[in-house]
Amino acid sequence: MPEVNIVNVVKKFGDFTALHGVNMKVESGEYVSIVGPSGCGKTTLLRIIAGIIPPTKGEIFFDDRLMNDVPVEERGIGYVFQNIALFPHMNLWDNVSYGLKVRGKPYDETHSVTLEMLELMKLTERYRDFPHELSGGMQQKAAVARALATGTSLLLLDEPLSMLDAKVREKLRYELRKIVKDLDLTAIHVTHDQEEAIAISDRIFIMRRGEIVEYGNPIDLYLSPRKIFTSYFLGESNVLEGIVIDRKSDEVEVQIGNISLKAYGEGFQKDERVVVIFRPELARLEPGGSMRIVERSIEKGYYRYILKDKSQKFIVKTFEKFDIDGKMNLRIPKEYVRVYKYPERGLNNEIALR
Amino acid sequence: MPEIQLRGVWKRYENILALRDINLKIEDGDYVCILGPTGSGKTTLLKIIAGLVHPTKGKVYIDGREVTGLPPERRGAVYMHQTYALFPHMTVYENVAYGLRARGLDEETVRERVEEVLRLVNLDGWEDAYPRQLSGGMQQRVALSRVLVTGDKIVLLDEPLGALDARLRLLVRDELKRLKQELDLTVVHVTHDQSEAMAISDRIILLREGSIIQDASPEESYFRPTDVFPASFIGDRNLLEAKVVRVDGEGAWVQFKGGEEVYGKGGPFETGDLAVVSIRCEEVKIIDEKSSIPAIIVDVSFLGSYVKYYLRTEGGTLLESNTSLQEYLCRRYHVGDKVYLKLGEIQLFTYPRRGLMREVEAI
Repeated sequence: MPEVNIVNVVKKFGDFTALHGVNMKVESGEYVSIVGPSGCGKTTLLRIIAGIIPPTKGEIFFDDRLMNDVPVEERGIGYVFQNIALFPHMNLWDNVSYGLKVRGKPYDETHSVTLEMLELMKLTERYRDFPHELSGGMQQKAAVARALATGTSLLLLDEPLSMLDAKVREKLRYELRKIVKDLDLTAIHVTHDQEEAIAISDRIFIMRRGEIVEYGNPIDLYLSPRKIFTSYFLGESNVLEGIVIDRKSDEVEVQIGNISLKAYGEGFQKDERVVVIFRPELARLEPGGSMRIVERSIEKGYYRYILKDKSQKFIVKTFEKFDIDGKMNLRIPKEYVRVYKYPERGLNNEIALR
Repeated sequence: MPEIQLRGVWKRYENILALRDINLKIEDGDYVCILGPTGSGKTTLLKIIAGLVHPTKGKVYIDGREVTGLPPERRGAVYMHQTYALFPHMTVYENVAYGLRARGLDEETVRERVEEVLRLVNLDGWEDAYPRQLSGGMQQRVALSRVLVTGDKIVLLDEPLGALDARLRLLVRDELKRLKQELDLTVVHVTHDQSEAMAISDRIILLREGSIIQDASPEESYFRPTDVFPASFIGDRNLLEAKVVRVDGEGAWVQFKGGEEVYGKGGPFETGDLAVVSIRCEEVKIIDEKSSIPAIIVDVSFLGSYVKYYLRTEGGTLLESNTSLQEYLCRRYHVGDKVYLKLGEIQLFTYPRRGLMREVEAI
């Protein structure tokens, strides 16, 4: 069972540096995702792990074995592509058993492994169907079955769900994680979709501009990230500029437009410009303030409100229903509010999605 | 008043029936989403409104005037393709100006209109940049500018957010809504993503296999699905098979295979009928008091703004409970915990002819 260790990997394409010295360690049996905006280098990193492209500098280890010079077909990995790459002229059975046959496995083994994989994916009944007779979700499951049939314990997934309908994606990501866990595999899954990363992984590596911004388990990254970008990228956040108006030992009060919020935080000065962040679903609304509801929609069981106070915009998600144009007050416990130093190169640069 | 109307529209491609008897009216100023799974006919429907596809049967009206035989450019409606390709060798300004110049407008007017539109989408200052220098979101706004600059009040968008990263989509949703309001547009937007449709539209037209299955506001679609398919496609629901044991008032008492009995609204049913029980995942509550539904936690998924508990009742019924992040932070349950459930609003549907699994799987 492979532990994957990526040491100081640099990748240059001509003048363009796609990866600036990336370090990453994936434990055996872990489901890890690499998530980030388009062009952040995540697919390049995955291809380097697979051996599809070589790094410019740095080392790749599987279980302490240096893999840099090991060709892709000898790395013992299963690779699943974004574009479902089944052979269109072969039925499901032949697609899944293909890798076994090519490797010259005996008939009995090929037969039993193929059957096992199809059963695992709940596709046994469809074994004679051709790819075009299967739904997109089934096709992608078949692609995973084919990748696993060769007996790999390291599964590399490059945006495996992004070609599927949103609803299918939600179902399949749960199944995918379950299969990886049941078979005790190690998985590295690349996606641009922060929701998918949160749902599917034990740990998330967030990338931007060829670097890893932050990594950790989904809950910690979602609730208490060290970086502003992490909070902004992993689902909606209120990311607001404010001024410290008061501070006590471990507490600060920050003025944001017309409202002030308290938070835990140390090392801030009075009148310092800061960034305040809170999750929309951790705030509450009460009638009777200076914020006006300008929009309301339904999202995952919550009502999602956009509120305006002068030029300041807030997002709040709550179960309570209020009318558009209603004047509101926002309340949030201070343990859910996070305060950050104002970034040197400006807030817009800090949260830019590229 | 740009109102769109379709009457008895059918579309057949050789041996595939893409649309069957579509009747609908889109009011001036509406933001309508056409929602459905792949292959449900939603793009065909949009292209028929745009004039890019001709219906096999039926009529299309815009502004009360029949346009069925008219070419796209004479309908006062502008269509944005799923893969909006910008001209890579042209600047932002030239990309947006292209269509106007092709119409033979003088350079002065072109400049005025391009500048106005770029201001509107917050791209002023980027006139001289080339597409490759822009982020995905900015490119998308350039594509949108090309559409808006035509001045047409009906805007037809085919999966306009499909090419964007998930996080960016959330931002552009709000942007589209704002533009619609500021420019007083009528927008028809095709998507397979129910949360996108819920977030952005005033009205959702749900398609399946070429037919309109439900046509309602997002709120109504979410809380009052009319059948098993809309219930499975919009929102997040438990859909379970059960047997009607007693008809009562506006609904019935039904029994799960595991033995639990619950009351739901819907019907008409007769005792002994199979029914589909529909419970929104956020209506499955884990409570502290004892209840008639003891269960065990079999899995927990943290999903950001909420947490999903996978539960198995004593009788063996599998249920999912979506719990808000606030509740989760106050009280966390773990795999193996024994809990009690309270079920909120329950809707009952007639059992589908092709079976529940098939009906839901067809998504």
